[in-house]
Amino acid sequence: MSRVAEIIGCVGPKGSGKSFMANALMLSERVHIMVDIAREFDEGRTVIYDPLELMETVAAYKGNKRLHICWRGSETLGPKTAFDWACQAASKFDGRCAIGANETETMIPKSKDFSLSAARVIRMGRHNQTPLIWTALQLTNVHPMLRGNADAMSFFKSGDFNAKDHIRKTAGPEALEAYENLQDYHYITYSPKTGWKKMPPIKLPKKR
Amino acid sequence: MKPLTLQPDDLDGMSMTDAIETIEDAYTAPGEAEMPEGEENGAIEPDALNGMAAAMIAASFINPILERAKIDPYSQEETVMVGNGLQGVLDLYPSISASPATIAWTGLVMALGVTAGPRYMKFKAMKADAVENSQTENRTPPNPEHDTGVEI
Repeated sequence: MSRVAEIIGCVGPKGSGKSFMANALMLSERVHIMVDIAREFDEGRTVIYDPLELMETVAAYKGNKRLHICWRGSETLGPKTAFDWACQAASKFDGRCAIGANETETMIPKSKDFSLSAARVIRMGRHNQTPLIWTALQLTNVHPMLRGNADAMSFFKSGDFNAKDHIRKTAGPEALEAYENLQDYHYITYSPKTGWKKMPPIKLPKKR
Repeated sequence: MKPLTLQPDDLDGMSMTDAIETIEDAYTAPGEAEMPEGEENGAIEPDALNGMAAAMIAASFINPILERAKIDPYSQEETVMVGNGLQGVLDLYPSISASPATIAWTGLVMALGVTAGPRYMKFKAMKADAVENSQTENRTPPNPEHDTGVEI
C-alpha cells in the first residue's frame, strides 16, 4: 500500500490498531527509521540513540539487506528534534527510506513550525523517496501540514467527531455510514486518488 | 562528550559524508560546555595528581610553620584572603591554556604568597613585641624582697 501512497495517516483511539498498522506498513519497507518516543518499536530493529550513529548507520547501508532503525533520539533531544533528525537522515539516504512517526500530537505540536528537513519530507515525500507514516489519536490535534499533505488516511473505529466530519466532507455520507458501523480493528481508508474503502484488520508482514 | 547543539537544518545541502564530519566536529570542537578530557568518567589525569600531591606536600610544610609561629591558621581574615586567592585562580582557569600541573603549581605559589606574606609580617611583629617585652623585663627585674608587704 505504501508503494502507492507516500504519506499515510492513521487516526484512531488508543488500542484501535493504528500503531499496529503503522508498524506493519513500516516493516514492509526495506529501509526505514521509526521515530520511537514511547519505547515500543524496538523489536526486530536496530535501536539508535545518537544522531551521529543514526547518520553513520544510514550512510553505511549497502546492498539488498533490510535496515530497520528504531530511533530513540527523543530521549535526549526531544521528540520534535528527533523527528527532524530522522527526516534529515532519510533525505540524505541514497534510495528509498521511510519514516514512521507514532503519536504525532506529542511529536509535532500544532503550535510549532516544521524544520526545513521535516517540511521537505512532508511536502516532497512522494517525490524524493521518503515516505512518511504517521499516527494520531484525534484528527483535530494533527498538524495542518501533515493532514493537508497526506496521500491517504486510515480511520479506525472511534467516536472522534472531527474525524466523522472530515470523512463526511471528503469521502461522502456512504463512507461516514461505513465508518460508523466499523467493527473492532477494522478501518476505512480514504485517498483522493482512489476514493474510500472499508478495510479488514491488517496483518504483520512475514519475516524475510 | 558534550551535548549536541547542532540542529538538523544545519546539515542542509551537505552530502552525507560532510554531514557526518560536521556532527563529529560539533561533538569534539572546543566550546563553553566542554570538559577537560578524563573528567567525564570521574578519572583524574596524572598531571592533576602531580598538582594535588604538590599541594599536599606544601600544606604539610605550612602547618608546622604556622603552629610554631603560634598563628591561628583559621582566622577569618586569612580564610577570606586564601579564598579570594583561590577564587582568582579558578576564575582564570578557563582562559589559561596550560597543563593542570602548571596551573596547580601556579595556584600553590599564589596561595603561598597570599597566606605566607601577611603571616610573616604578623610573625615579625610578634617577635619584635617579644624582644621589647624581654628588654623591659630586664630593665626592671622583679625583686620579691622589696614587695613582701608593709612592715607591721
